[in-house]
Amino acid sequence: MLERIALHQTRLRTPGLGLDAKGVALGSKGVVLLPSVDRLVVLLAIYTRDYSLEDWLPSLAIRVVRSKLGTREMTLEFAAESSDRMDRIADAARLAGGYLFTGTSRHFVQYRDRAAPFGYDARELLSSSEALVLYHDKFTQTYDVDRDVPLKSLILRLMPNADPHTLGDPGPRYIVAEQGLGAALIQYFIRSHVDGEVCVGEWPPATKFDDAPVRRTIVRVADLPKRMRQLVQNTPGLTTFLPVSQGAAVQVGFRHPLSLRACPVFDSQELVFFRGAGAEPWVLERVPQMGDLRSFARVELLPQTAMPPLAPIKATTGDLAAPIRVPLRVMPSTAPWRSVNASFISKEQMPLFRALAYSLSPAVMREVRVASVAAGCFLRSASGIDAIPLGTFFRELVANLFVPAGFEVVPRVAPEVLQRALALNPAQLAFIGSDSRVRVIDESAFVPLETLLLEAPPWEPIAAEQIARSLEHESIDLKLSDMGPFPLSDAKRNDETKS
Amino acid sequence: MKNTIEVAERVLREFATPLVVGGTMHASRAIGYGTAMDLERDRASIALDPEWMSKLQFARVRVARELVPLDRFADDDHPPWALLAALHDLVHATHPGFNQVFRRKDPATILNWVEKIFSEVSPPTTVGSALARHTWFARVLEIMRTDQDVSFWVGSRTFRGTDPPTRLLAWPDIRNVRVTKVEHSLLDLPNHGSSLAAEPFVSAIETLLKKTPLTDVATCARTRPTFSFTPENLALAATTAGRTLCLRALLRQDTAEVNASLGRAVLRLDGRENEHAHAAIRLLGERAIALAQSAGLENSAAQTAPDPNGKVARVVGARAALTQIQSPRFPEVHQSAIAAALKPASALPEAMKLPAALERLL
Repeated sequence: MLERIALHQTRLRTPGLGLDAKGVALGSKGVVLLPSVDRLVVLLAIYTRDYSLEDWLPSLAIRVVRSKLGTREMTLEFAAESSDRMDRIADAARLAGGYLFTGTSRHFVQYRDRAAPFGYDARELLSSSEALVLYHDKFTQTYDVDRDVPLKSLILRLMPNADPHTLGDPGPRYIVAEQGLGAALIQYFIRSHVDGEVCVGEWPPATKFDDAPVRRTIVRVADLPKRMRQLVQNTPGLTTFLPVSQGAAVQVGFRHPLSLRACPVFDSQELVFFRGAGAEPWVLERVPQMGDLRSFARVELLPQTAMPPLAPIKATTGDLAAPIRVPLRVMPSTAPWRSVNASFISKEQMPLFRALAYSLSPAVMREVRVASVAAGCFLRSASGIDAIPLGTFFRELVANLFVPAGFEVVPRVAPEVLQRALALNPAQLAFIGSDSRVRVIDESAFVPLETLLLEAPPWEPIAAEQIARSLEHESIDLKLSDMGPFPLSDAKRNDETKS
Repeated sequence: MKNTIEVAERVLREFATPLVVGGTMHASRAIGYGTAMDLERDRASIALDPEWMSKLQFARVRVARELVPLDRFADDDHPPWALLAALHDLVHATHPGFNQVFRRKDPATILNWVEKIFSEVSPPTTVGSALARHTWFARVLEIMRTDQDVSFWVGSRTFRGTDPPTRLLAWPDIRNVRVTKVEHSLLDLPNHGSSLAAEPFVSAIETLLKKTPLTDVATCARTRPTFSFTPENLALAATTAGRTLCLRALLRQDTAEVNASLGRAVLRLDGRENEHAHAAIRLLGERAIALAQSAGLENSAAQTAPDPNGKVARVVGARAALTQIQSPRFPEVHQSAIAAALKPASALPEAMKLPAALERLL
């Protein structure tokens, strides 16, 4: 069916087939015939590993073709611009188990190989109305086009494979949080001083029973600290993605079968999250406007009294310090927790505390001192209050002065200065709440927990005499019965037998 | 053999078990000498209800633990069938049913069999066997029979060891029914409705106690049969372990009553006739030391023991104890205190009136 093209041969029978500058037979198109989709994916994976499909894309067409026998095969059609490109594709096609053909319209002949360095030409053309006629040295086959398969839809349908190596990959990450977790995630990043951008993505309702669209918070972090990776990867409701190309990101721990960087099928406005474990990808046709994470930092307004005076300042000779005094405020702090020696348990948490009391160790019972107030109770322990994981924890800033753990007092004056400013009695303890209110309690109000905790159980005397009586021996009561007419007959008979 | 097993089952369930545990005891048809000896001979092959025996063993261990921390008896520990049968027949001989024409001689026949049984049974040869035998017979003197006199509007009837029929107790107010219950101890049974003479009955019980010497000592405060030092109980007291058991048994009884019994018994001692007589003196001495170590007991005994026999026991005990504490093995730190406690007892006037035979033993 085919004949080898000889050196300097100029006449070819196959329509649209010509010779390039090297004398290689080449049509305007190339066609790779593949027996199945997975072979096609293998071909693309092999090719995109080293080369980009960017130049192919305008001419690339993937089709499902059907032979006369009804078998379906895949063809990959592209512009055969040069024999160099065709040679690269021929290598990949050979590895993937496909056949490479070249031609222009309907008739495609086998591309060159080692047996025919200048390629092949058909000896005679088949007269057929089929859309595709392929000439190979082993077969000649005609195909009808069944349907076209866009590359983008093929890429979207491919499931990422598990690849644990990507878990530790550095670089930017997308973290998609389910509705409800977004705010907490943003605050967590803000507290941890993680730079990034955030937006809310909308997807169509998951089912027709849902009215509202599905909203997820998308956080793009330039460089997620290593210590947080485990948390965001393992927390249910959070999904982490690694951007792999423009508009595409693959879930951490998975790898897309194709090198998506070599397949620029996604728009710059588009964003596709490829999810692992067989889940559908999340496709955002347009990435919403992203905002800086820092914009979500807690906003606090100055109290009205602390607002800058609107009236012009008048010079005064009185108390010079008064104009620069600022009210005490308590702000969140990332400083590590130290000297957490006290806690406040509100009234609502009191039942839980009572239940917890049954599991406290004797040492904790002895050490912890408690002061009951109207809103709950304050607990103190010199060796740390962490044995009772309940309530609001306070750290001891300086002797008898407590601030909530995770907060700091601003302005950041020395603790001793703060103590002096509060003018505390040495027998008093001051607890500064997160609302900046200062609550002062006399130290004498604190009593050991063990003395306060136990309710006196009701008791009843034990009837000891009953125990003594039960240990007494029962008396031996001899009862007589009727001895019958001959009471000694048995005994006598036996006695006589012995005799 | 079948008859023997049936008798064994009956004796065990109706007589021996209440004897150990308490409760209602039945002494029905006499067993006789022949069957008793069969039981004793076949004791190893008589298969009894293991669960019943287990409960009985448990009760016996409880009795034994009053004297010694014992957990179980030896595997070859069998009921003393002959002695149990003898006691059963003895109790049965007091049945008022024998007090009839043609039956009045039957109790004597039974007594004859019992004496023959006793002559065949040897006293225990080890402290362990004495203890094991004691666990069966420890409560022998606690056997009681309740007799009820029922009087009603037209007469009265006495029911000995049986309950009156309910018809006789019906309409108590209308018929003016009155029931008087009187309890009689074992030794009183011959005197209440029985044709058996009291003296041979008490003598038979005394013989029984000789066969179980630890029980003899443990009940020495009894009024009848009066306690005396016998070769059997002195052989037990001659061993250290046996003496310890005897001491513990004595200390569980009323001190004054024990003093009286021991005093009476020690006055009858004759060293020439009894080679173990020194064991009695040693027992009294050790008891005196034990009492002296708890001064309160000694003082109370002195105040509540006006009985001259009791004083004799105290004198003999004190003098024997003063000798014993001189032993180099006795702890020196206690010597002076015990000597001071015993001094008043040893100086009682009765000390001057001790018989010569007793003086020789001291």
